[in-house]
Amino acid sequence: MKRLTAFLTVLLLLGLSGVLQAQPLPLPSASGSNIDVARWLKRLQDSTLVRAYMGTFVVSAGDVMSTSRIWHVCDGQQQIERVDALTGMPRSTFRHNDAVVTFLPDSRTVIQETRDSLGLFPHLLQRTDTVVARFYQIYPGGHARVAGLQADVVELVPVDKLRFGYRIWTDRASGLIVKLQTLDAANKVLEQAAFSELQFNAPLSFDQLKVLMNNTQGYQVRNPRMRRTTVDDEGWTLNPPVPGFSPVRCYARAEPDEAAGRQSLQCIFSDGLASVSLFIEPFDPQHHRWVAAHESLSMGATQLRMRQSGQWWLTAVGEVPASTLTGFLQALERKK
Amino acid sequence: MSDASHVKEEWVSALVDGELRDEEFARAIVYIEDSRVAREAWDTYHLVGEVLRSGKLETLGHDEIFIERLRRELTSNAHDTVAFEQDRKRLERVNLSAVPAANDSWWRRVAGLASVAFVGILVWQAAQWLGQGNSAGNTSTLAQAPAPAQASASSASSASLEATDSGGAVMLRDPQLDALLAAHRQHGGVTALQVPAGFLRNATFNEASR
Repeated sequence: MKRLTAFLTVLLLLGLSGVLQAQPLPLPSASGSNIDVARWLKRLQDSTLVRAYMGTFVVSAGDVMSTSRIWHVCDGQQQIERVDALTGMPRSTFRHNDAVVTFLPDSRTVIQETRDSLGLFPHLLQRTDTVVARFYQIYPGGHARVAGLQADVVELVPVDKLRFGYRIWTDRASGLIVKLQTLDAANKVLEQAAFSELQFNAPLSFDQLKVLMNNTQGYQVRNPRMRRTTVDDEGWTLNPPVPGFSPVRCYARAEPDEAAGRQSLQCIFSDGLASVSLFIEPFDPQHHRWVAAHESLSMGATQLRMRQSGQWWLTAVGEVPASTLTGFLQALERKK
Repeated sequence: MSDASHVKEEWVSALVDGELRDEEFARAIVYIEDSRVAREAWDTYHLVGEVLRSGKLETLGHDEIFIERLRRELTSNAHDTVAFEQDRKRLERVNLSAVPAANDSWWRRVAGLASVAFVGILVWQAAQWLGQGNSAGNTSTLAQAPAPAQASASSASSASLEATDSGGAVMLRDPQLDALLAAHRQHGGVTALQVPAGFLRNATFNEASR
């Protein structure tokens, strides 16, 4: 009889869990969700290596909507991508693996940069999956059509209040992310990005895009000067560290228009999905006091917070709750 | 001006003079937080105070910020001189209407004169700025803006955006904050979602909202 009661109790609980749709069923996994997260992340990465596609991409944050036209080609090893903004300032952004070139036709200016995070993805992945699995729970979210494609939906629910959640639609055939929502603690959509139209196997040539990317004739080329460094080397520390967020890299940027010696730092922290930039610059009483009194920012998923720390002015920007940024700002201090 | 808004503007004046306490003080702070006009009045009062106390140097910081904002107003209609006139008049109205809320007549006269002088400086500098733009033909100001550093390039991009996208929502008013946001988008994208969705999101979203 006891066994029957226990069995009925389990059945009842299972039934209740089915009724309470707010708690989606976790992906089947023998030892937590680590394996599933790793496989799921790997599939995301693989999806970019085997496809050529073109489409229209829409990003909506708050009351602002931005649209761009995308061309993407991959020959198996190398990726090249072109993103033409259809809203706001006219600009074309090309990415060839880590190299990013932005054309600003209004000013006839080209900005050439290296964004090493892009090419590091497979390496990043190795340490990312464990962090992601520790701070997010992954749940299947059903199926839906996006841009005419059948998509699988996955929800990444944060385990604490230090980060936002994500709802991600991936094309069932290719694994490509076709829609992405950033959600707050109340499951409200803060920001979403999606293909409104997507065409695979588009007649695109890698070389064609490469030629366009390298054709800077008639443009003034800018190469931003950035020096790689670390939070530690620059004499700063996070005490205590914000759970889940590790330092990823740090840049010192010279401000050529400013007096000699004036430098600002950008240190980036990530928990594998969300990222936070901490900017450290010399405190300018006139400007920063005015900014602090008049500016606050919450735009879609992006938040911004700032504070003075002695002779320094600290600004935190990231796709995390504002309280997380405050935690970063409070914890950042000069090493003794 | 309605009685209610007149009373509220007097709050700003009284707050500047240090006359508010307790609940009145809290109400005035909330009002200043909520009202751009109130903040401008607050700035103007302090500006006038600085001019009276220390001559002229202390006003430079405000000059730059006001001019930056004026520039944004103007660049949204950069080729439209009628709009420039409207902006100038509107700015004059804002500054002049804020001044009479001060308490005694001497202060009122001095503040009025200082505001007129300040608006004059703004208009002169704005006209000079526009003149530079015209002298370069039809090229935008971005063509002259140096952008060797990331932050500089980003803020310059921002200026250009505002020149070409008058309908866009201006979420950030300070160009340096704009630059930090752009730098975060450009280099902060380290997430597992970065390829491809993060990059596409950033490249699409980057300057468009500003």
